[in-house]
Amino acid sequence: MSALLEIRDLTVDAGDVRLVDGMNLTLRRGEFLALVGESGSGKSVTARAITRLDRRTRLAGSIRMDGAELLTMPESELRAYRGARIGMVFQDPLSSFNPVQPIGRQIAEPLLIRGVGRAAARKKAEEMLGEMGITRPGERLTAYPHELSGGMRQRAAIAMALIAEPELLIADEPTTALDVRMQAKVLKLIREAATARHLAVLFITHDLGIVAGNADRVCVMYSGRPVEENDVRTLFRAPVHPYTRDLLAAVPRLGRGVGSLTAIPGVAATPANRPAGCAYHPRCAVAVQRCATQVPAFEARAACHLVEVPAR
Amino acid sequence: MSLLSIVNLSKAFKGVTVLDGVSLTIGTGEIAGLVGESGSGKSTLIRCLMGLEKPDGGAITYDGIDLLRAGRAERRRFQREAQIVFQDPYSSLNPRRTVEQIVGEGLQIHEPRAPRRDRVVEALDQVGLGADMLGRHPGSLSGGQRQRVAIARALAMRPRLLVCDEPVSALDVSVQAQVVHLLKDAQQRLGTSLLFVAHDLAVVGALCDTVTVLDQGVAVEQGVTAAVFAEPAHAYTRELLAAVPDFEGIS
Repeated sequence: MSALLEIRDLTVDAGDVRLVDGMNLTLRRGEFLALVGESGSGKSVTARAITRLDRRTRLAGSIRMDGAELLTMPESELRAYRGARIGMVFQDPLSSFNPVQPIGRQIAEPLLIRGVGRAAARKKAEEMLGEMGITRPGERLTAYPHELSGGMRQRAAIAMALIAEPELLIADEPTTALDVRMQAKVLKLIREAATARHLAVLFITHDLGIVAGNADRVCVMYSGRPVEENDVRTLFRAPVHPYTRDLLAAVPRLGRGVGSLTAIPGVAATPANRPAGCAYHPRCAVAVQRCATQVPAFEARAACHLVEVPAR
Repeated sequence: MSLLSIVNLSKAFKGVTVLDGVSLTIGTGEIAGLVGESGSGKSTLIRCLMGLEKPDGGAITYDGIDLLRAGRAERRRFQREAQIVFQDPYSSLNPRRTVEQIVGEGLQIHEPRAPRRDRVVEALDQVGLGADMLGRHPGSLSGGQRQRVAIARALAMRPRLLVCDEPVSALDVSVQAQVVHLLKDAQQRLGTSLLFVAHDLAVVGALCDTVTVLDQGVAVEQGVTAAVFAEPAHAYTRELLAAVPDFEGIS
């Protein structure tokens, strides 16, 4: 399978602060990749850099989609990617919609912009809402965003993201604001829609539990850098980076007591005061001297001085 | 012996029933979990308990005090002994005040003669923060540090009942565990009773002795946490448990 999206040596700067510091990522068609990290890890910044949503940040490196360089592409050309080849869903569905316009019109907008007729676009919007498990989708088209529940709004936002049949779906914490049962439902919908379309999904989340049940591959970020990447089974069964291991031990799981819950000491490194060397070293239980001075290179599957690189 | 007992609590807003005869007891030194989705009535129950909302019917008894009919002095005792930690440490701390002022505020009101700074430092110590925090403002703290300040503010009063409204859901994973340990510590070392409100069943399972499942204002299931989770009797509880991500299949 060829790569649909290739991010190489991406850096994102805002003022003097380097938000993302050397991100690498490859996403294939039909693949569900979870980008995991705590707040300030740069996961959302990375996702937003793909479609250059934040005008105030400076981007360097390379982001290629199907071979075409997105970082240097003229704004006018990039517009043909946003919403059409790349669909996006965000955490807060209320802010994804214009509050004074019925949702049907907004869901259909990516088609209308591209010259699809009103009736056809409306019909497609209805189909999409139906696929998202919304009952009587035809009647819902005239509803305003505030008339829908949070779960319904988020499903409408997914319908809007997928209506133009994109090749890549970027979902930035799409279930975080939802109730537990709705979370599970929305995740299942995204999964099914992705499988049916052979869609590549870049799923940004802080929740390892969501990752476990849904992703094919996982990339863990810390303080603007990737620290470990692997297929989901291997990453959960045999994590090699100390941060990944600590993070997994800090997640509460059903059937385990407080005793098995291990907190990570200290506070997460922010991009503004990223420690020298490996950014995780002040919190790392196994750090050695070298960790404090030398930034570990990402080799094989992790960026850590202590991980043995298998001989080739 | 039960410290708090809520019996048949009811509340409606504009004819819409939000709490429908909910009963709940918390024993001394016990951690009671309250689980439900948005709109289940969790927050209304807490607001009624803390005196922020007046219930339509039912009774709340705290250590022998009938809270809904209590006089000024009894009410004040409850306000001193029961403290609350809110979900969002960004909105629950006054940004213009220092950590010392925030953590000491309850003492200033309820125990003006107590050695305030000592008690504040002691409370900060209990949540793992040093005395160097005293002069800081919330704006310079991370989310986890803020939530620890909010917990210190509650602990400074040496509460007998600590009400926690989704205290970890706004925090990062690595910090969540710290806060869960703090609460467990408070219960074990200080004998504090806890009412822990959450939507994350895994946290509730790890921390709480008993659990009450609230669905649309009705307590659909109640009991010892381990037993309820092992054999949920109500369909709603089963659905909630099924929605908890499963690691075991994978790791």
